[in-house]
Amino acid sequence: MRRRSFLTAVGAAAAAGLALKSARDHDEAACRSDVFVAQAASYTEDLEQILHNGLRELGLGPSLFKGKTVLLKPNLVEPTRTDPQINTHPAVVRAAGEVFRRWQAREVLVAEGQGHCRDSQYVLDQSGLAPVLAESRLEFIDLNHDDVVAVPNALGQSRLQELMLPVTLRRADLVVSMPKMKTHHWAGVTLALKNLFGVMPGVCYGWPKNVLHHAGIPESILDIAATVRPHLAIVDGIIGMEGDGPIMGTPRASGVLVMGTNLPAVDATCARLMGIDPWRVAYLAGASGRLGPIAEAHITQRGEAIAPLVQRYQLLNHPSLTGLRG
Amino acid sequence: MNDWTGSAQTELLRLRDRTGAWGYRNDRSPSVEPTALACLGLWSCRSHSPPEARRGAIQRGADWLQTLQKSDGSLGIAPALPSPCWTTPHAILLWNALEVHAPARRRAAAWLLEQKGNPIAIDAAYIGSVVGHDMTLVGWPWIEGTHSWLEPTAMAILALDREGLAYHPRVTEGIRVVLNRALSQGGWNYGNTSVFGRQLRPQPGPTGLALLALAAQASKLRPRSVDPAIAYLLRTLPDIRAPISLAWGVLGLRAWNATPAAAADWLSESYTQYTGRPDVTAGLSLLLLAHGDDPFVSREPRS
Repeated sequence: MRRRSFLTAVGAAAAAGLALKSARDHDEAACRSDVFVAQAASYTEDLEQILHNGLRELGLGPSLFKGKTVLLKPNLVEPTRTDPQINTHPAVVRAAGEVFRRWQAREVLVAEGQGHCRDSQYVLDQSGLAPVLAESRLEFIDLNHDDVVAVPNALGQSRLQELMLPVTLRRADLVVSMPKMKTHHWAGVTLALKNLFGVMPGVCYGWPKNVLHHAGIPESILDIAATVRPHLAIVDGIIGMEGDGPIMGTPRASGVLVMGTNLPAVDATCARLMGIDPWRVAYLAGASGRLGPIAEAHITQRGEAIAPLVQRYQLLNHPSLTGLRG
Repeated sequence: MNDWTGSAQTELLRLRDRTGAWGYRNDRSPSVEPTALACLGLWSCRSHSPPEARRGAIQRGADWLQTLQKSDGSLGIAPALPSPCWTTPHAILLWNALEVHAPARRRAAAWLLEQKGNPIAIDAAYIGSVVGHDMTLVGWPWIEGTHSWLEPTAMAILALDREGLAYHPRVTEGIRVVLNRALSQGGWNYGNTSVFGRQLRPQPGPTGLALLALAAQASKLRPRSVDPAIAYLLRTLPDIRAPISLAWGVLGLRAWNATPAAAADWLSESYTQYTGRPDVTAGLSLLLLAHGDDPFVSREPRS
């Protein structure tokens, strides 16, 4: 087996140079979006107010959320108590829930279908999210073991004809992807788009979600995003992860929360904050023009300017990840 | 009888739907895995409480599973989902425990023997620098057409062992898969040992399941991976009350006669903490199994 085939089969995809179906016929310039970058030095800051202000700057408020069911999709990867760089911090989840409640959302759910550990309660306990859910009276739905419904693949980048999606997604009026800002040893970076792997039920895709690996990670990311069509992204970059992400990397204090309604635009902004060229991340390049803009010229940056906040996240020294810098 | 097990059985029975089967949540459709686990959990309490009261419910669950068996012997994960079929070993384990549906069991076992995870043959030099495990070994996948992973391989070994197939070459290779995926610091996770040279972390659930599978091996040996895994569980379980992980961990310890006296309290505390949750079916079932007198699959606990 050749190296490339091996990487694909085990869940890898060279981050640069993957032959996604051409996006040249799609008009990146026609896609414009706003992204807000907020500074937050630690998880003890008033994150609710920071998120509230940022989302207001993006034009979001009670008119969108009133009476709606909002599903928060954090990134819960690993059951660990000691590593703040792995999972979306509970304080960020709580803050988002409070903002949407303040805007009179009918209900706010937290839902995840983690890719490695089947036992959701264990992950919730270890990540510190369980007590926050209890204190904030936030219902948690285990998407790995939800009832499922088959939905046609809306984009068709991968060979998957249909996607099996949890029925809870139908219950939600608004889906909010809430990832951690991290490097990823197979995908380059894992942000709001890659976080959507976690809506795919393990009962249908396995632990890890190997079906998606075999179908191609970048292709699957695009297909899921186009089919699920999340409404908002809030990225926890207060403490991110560099190096061997998404699990074994090291913490990197970036002190930012990044938010926006267009996921490729949010992810491209995060990549730039990490010192990574979004055009060299295969699935972001593939998203350009199809799912949103990733060019700086087509993203209106609000809040903090990017340049002063850029940190060069360390990348694994491996050929599959070279070239992400540009 | 310990107080909590009676309450747990009552709660479990209440969580059934009108077909007599169980879903992962009390407001979700019935599925094969929670139904098999619930019946096994109830059955494991038979020496503590009169089985007659529950026998009907258990039998009904077993029969419900049989209605889902396809002509090739496999069972999908739910009536509306005829595939994937990684839940087939769960049905075998229940039918075998109850000594019912023998033809169905044999067909399911025959199907299971035909299922293989995709091996990935690569340059040996590449193994280790990117992925730590031997990708050429063949166990069982979660989903047809994908790679072998720890949990489905362990479940297949348990089911085939129960069916008297512990000496089958597929089981022997499955054991090799389990051993190959052991982490050097002790224990197992979902089946990745290291990626890009970094050792990944163990988890109690897969560790318990792997210990159960190794206890089922025909050779009766005590593999080198057993003691570090037991040490890992003894180190971590005292702080874990999440029912599924705790119960699998205790089951793994029981399979090797390594259960500490405190384990009974852990199980009781876990029940107290999580009873009443809408998604507690699998957890309750496994807590009962871990406490019960028929620790899942290990007919003869190893010393």
